[in-house]
Amino acid sequence: MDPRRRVLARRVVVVAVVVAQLGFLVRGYHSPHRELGWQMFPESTEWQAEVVRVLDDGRRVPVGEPWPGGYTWATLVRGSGLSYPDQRQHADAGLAAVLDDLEHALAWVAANTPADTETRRLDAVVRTWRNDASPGPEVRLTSPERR
Amino acid sequence: MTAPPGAVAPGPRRRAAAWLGALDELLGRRVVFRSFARLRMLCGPITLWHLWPFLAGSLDGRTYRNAYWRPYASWLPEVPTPLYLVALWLGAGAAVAMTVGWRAQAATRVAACVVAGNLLVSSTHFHNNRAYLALVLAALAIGPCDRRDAVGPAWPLWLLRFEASCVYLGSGLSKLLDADWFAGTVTWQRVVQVRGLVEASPLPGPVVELLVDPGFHTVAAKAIIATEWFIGLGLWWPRTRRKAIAVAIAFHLAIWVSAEVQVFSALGIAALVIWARPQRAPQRPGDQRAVIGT
Repeated sequence: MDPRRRVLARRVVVVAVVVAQLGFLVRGYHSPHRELGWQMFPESTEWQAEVVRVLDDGRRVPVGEPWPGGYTWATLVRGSGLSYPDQRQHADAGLAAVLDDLEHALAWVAANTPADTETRRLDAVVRTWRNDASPGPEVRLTSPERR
Repeated sequence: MTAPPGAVAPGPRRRAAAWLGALDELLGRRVVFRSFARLRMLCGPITLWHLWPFLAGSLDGRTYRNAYWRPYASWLPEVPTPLYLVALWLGAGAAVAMTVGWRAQAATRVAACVVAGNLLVSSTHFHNNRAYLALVLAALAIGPCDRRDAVGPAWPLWLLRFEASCVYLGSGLSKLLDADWFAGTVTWQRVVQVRGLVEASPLPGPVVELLVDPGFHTVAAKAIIATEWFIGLGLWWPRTRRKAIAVAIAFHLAIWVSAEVQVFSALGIAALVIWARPQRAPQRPGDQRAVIGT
């Protein structure tokens, strides 16, 4: 490559990386997952959720109970840190990340359990505790209607 | 100091050109990438350690697509499962090749692509330690890392130093700006939440008492923040670098024994090799002489 172009390309790449990283650092203050924001151990907040299947007749069945098609909540969301929502637990990456993931997990489960013909949607009621262990706001999440 | 008679003060354009010249010299300075070769060898086992849970899952017939997963953007193409599995095992092979030095540059590039790709296929894969590993591997893939005497322009080293510094400074800044963190509430509550484990640990009684004392955490939180700032800034200056490296090693070891951070502590310690002063290589004809220390 022409040396002048090489110097220019080098400048562009370095400046782009530096600017992007600085942008991610700033974005980390208002993004739930804080990607590349490098905010380690950000909170001591805790959460606990009651996740239920809402049936066609309006009954609310906890996801821990037998599920048509043999599904289990823990298997459906394995690896996401959401497997045991009924246990009070630390929000490792922050409460906003947990709530964002749980909301998307409800939608994914609702869309990926075809053998379950009785569930209309999934709901979650999330209890939260702030950094100082005082109760935080209760958050309600819901999946899209399945039909 | 006064300017000599008749001298013309440099205008903004001339000053900008001087700054750009200095920047170009810094980025293009040819150095021996010994630290990259060392880091590549250390990153081989770390990459294998990182990939192992995914490899073990694949042996049981599981991939991320068997459970809740989420693409970063809806327009991203879905990776076919067979291709994903082949890439995972290729990444594992590349990690071994990185360690033993067989076709090391190509192996590092493969490992970087696999680790970054695995991070990008689903947002559920995101963890800070994995993102840091992807960035370190990307820098190694760009810079020469196959031989201890490999020579190249210094810019990949500068970029990796910048990223490494951002990890500590970003973390320190977020804690400094968070009132609960600064006051010690966050660390105190984390210990309270695992008090049973702390009491069952081999730590002496008085140490356990100290760890659950909120007064201790008002001081400890500030010490943690100061430590992160010292590492993030101290690594840049030759006079403080050795102390910053020693503090960083102790800091990472403390995190390793007190928290589950996957490969982060091992990677954080390994990456400190990039702060070894790089040996200057002969400059190409026409290159300016270096004026800024590394």
